[in-house]
Amino acid sequence: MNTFFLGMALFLVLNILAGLWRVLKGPEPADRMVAAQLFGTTGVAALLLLAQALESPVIRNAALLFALLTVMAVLAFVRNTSYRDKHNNDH
Amino acid sequence: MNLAFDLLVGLSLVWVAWRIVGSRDHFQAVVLFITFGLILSLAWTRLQSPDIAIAEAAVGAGLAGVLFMDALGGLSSSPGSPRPAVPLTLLFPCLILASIMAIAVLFVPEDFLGLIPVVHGALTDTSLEYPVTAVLLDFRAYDTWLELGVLLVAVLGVMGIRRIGSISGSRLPAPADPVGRWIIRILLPIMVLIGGYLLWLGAFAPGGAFQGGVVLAAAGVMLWQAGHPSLGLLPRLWWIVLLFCGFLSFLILAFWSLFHSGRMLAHPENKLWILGVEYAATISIATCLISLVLASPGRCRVRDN
Repeated sequence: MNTFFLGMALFLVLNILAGLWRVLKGPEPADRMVAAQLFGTTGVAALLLLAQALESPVIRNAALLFALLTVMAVLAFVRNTSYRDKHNNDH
Repeated sequence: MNLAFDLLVGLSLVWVAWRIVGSRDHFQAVVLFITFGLILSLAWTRLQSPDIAIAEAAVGAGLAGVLFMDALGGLSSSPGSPRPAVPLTLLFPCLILASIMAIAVLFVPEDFLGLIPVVHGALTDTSLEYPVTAVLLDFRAYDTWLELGVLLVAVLGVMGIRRIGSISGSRLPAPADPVGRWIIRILLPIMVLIGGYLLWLGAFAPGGAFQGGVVLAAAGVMLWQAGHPSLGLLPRLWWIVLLFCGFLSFLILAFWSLFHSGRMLAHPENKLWILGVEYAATISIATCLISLVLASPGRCRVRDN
């Protein structure tokens, strides 16, 4: 069963690597940001699977933190992007 | 399966790191760095170091992204900026260093346990149940004390460079308009709850002052991002008290133990001492990290209410 969980976590990491293609290609910053958010969700799932595979329930706390804090980068991104857009329209 | 997973995570780390250094687009580098933190957290998990995985999750997701995004907003970079040149002369020393480290790993005996038996053997001497917290707060208290000092020096350095004496009236690098105040109501209670939970967990499981402090710092930065003055609300004196209380609590403990037991930083039997020092350290860590973010250069005054 543990091998199954680890295999699923491996599959999720492969998903993250596939998503990196979007980060590298873009073209818009928003595309890259959304990809990073998706990694956050995938990472939570991967950490939960690892917690089962390694039989170490405390790892769930790391997943909890990613679920809670991934939104922080988006807040900063939204603020900066909308400010820049407004700034560019003014000139 | 274990080997496949470890190889994949390890190689992805190297590849993403290489892409961060060679990236032409600063924003792409920032997003890659956030991803790097996530994969690094997976790697620490596989290395059975949940403490570091939790710390990496908190710092990488909670604070690094915000700092980088705001720094990026302050830079006026054109998208066509030239690819940063990685000096090839650095490649040779780097390769030598990497090979030395790889060879060093080969010399570690397979059943090597390091200091684990020593720490577990000494656990009876302390009132803490979790070995990592016991090392941080008791066996190596001197290191933790000085690390709090390093954080303080970092805050003082930023304040000095920015020529400001307090963080009240600090300015957001980009206005908070698109982020609604409603987000405070949703996120603040959960962040404070989980920060306290991690702090409490440190007594018997991975967690503790640093991880809890970082989550509380993320809560403070979240307030600031939503347009709330955050710690800037505090009078300057109170802010300084919060900033220094972790360092001071170790100082008081050091003096007290020196006069009572003749040995510096020897914890008294009472568990309240350790709890007090840990809580003070958490508050100081959170205050220092919030101050570091709030002292960053900004253009837009936070709405006062």
